[in-house]
Amino acid sequence: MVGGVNARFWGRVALGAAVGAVGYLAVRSVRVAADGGRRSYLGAVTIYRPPAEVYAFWRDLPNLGRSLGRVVRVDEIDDQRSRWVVEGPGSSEVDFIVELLADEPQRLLAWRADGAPVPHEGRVEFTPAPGDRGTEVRLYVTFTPSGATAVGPLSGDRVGRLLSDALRRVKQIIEAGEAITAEGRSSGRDAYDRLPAPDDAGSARLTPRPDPEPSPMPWPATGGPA
Amino acid sequence: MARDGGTGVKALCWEGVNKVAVRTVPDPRIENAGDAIVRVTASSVCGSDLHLIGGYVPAMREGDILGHEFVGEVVELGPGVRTLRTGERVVVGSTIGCGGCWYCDTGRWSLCDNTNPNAELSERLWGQSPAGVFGSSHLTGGFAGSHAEYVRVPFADHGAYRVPLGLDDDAVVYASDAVPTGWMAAEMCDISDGDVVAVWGAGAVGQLAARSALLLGAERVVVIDRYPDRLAAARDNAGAHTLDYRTTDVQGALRELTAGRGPDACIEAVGMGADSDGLTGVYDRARHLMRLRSDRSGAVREAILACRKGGTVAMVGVFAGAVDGFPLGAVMHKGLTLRSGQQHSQRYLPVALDRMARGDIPTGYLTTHRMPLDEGPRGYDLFKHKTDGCLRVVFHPQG
Repeated sequence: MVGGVNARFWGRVALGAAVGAVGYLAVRSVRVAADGGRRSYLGAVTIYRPPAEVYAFWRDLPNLGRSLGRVVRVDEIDDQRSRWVVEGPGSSEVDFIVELLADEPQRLLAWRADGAPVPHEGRVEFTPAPGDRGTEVRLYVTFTPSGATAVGPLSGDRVGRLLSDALRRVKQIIEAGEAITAEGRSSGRDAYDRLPAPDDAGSARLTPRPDPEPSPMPWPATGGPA
Repeated sequence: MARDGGTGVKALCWEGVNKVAVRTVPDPRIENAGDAIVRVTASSVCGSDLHLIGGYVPAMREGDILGHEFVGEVVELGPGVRTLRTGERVVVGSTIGCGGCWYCDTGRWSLCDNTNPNAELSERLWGQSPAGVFGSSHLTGGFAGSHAEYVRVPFADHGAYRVPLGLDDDAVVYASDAVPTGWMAAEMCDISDGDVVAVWGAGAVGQLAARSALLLGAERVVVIDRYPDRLAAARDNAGAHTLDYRTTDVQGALRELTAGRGPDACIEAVGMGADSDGLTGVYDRARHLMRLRSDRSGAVREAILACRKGGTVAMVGVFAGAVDGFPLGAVMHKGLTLRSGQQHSQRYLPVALDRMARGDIPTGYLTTHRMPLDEGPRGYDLFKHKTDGCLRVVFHPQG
C-alpha cells in the first residue's frame, strides 16, 4: 500500500495519523533519538488542572480526537480498541485501529497502532506537578521500524512540531476552553485597495529621525561600559 | 465603514520599515467562541509602536494592523462570551489572557500560556512564550490591532471592561495599557516611606509611572527626559521633579538630591529607542541604525548606575532582543533587584479605571492630538518626531 504513493501523500497521512493516534500534549522540548531505525519522541507540558481531570479528558478518546484538529472522528470498539478516522490528502480519510496496552487512571495510558499508516507505540504519563501547578504530562512516541517506508517523508522536525502543536491544543482546550486561532485575522495583506504604487500613493514614509548629536558630556563618565 | 455587508473596514497598516498606510482590509470576524467584535471609537499611538514601525522588532509582516490601546462599542459576541452585551462601551487591555492557565490564575496575565498562536516562534527566541498582544509582532501572535474601524477581541470576557461614566474616550483610552504599565512599574518598586523614585522617560508611561509612584507613597519622584514640554507636563500633571539630561549631569543631580544614596528605585520607561551619550551611545546608535538586532539600552544603563545599593530597577520599556554593554557588574556588586514585564491588563486595568474615575490619575492631558484614522501616517510622524508638542495622538476611526 505504501509503495508508489508519493511522499507528499504519505506526509499528510502520517501527520494525521501521528496526531490522531498519538494524540497528545504540548511540548516544550522534543528530542529525537535514533535507535536502530526506531525513532522516538518525547514531549512534555504542564496542564493547570488536577491529574484526574487531565486523565479523564485524555481517556475520552472521541473527545480527545475532536480536540486535535485533524481527526475526523474516533469510534470506540470496546474497552481496548478504537477506530481513528483522520484526514488524508484532499477530502480523503484514512482509518486505523488503536489498541490500549495500559490504562491506569490518573497515571498512565499506553497504546499501539500497528495497522496505522505510521505504525507506532505511545505512552502518556500524568504526574502531579509540585506546588499546585497542575499535572505534568509526558508523552513518548516511538515509530516502529516496520513503518520505515511510511515514516520516510516525515522529517524529525515535522513530527516534533506536530506533536508539539497537538500537546499545545490539548492544554489550551483543557485550561482555556478553546484553542485560540490566528486564522482569519484581518490585515493589509488582503487589502481591497492595495495599489502597486510606484511612489506609494496613499502611503507615507516616515522621515528618519535625526539622531541627537553626542552631547559634550557635562559630567565625568560614570564608569559605564565603553 | 462598511460592516454589515462585510465589504471591508479601514485600518492603519505597517507596510515596511518606516512606512504606514491606511487600507481597506477584510472585516474582522468572530473566530473563537470567546471573541467579541468591537467598533473602535478611539485608539492611541504608543512608543512601542515606533519600535515596530522602525523595523527593530522581529517578525513583523507587511500589512499588519497597528494599535493596542483602545475604547469602543461591543457590536458582536461569540457564543461563549458571558459577561458582555452588545452596545456596551468598553476599554480593552493590550495583552490577551485566557483566564484558565496558572499564570492568569495567579495574576500574571501577560505571561498567559494560551493566547499566543505563534508560541513556538517566541519560544525559539525567548525560551518561553508570553501572552498574545494586539497590534504587535507575530512573536506575540500577530493579532490585528485597534487602529481600525473594527477589531476582534479574543477572550473578551477577560480583556474588555465597561467604561465608568464620566470618562471620555481621549482620557479612558490609556486604561488599556499606559496607566496599567505605569502602575505596575511603580508597584514593582515596592515603595516604602521616604523612598525617592527616579523615572527615565517623560512619555505617557513615564509620567503615569511617576504619578503612580507618588500615589503608592513615594516621598519624591524625579522624571528624566530631554523634551522641555514633556518635562513641564510631568511637573504639572504628575507632580514630579524633572531633570533635562541634555543640560544636566543626571547622575550627579540624583546623587545630590539623595545626599549620595541614589534613588531607592528606578523606573525605565523608554525601551530600546533610548538615547545615550558618549561612546557607548554612538556604538548603540550605529548598530541600531543598521538594524543589527542589538537594542539600545542607554536608559537602563543610567538607571542601574544611579540606583542605590540594594535598590530596585523596574524596566517597562520594550526590548526585543539582546543588548550590549549591560552593566552587570553594577547589578551584582550593588545587590540590585531587576524587575520587568508587560503589564498584566486584567489585574491592573480595574485599578486604573477606579483611580481614573476618582481623579487620582488624570490622563486627558496626554492626548495632545486627535485625528481621524485617515491621518494616521501624519499622526505617527508627529509622534515620532515629537513635533508640535506631541505627547500622544489618539485616532478616532469613526471620523
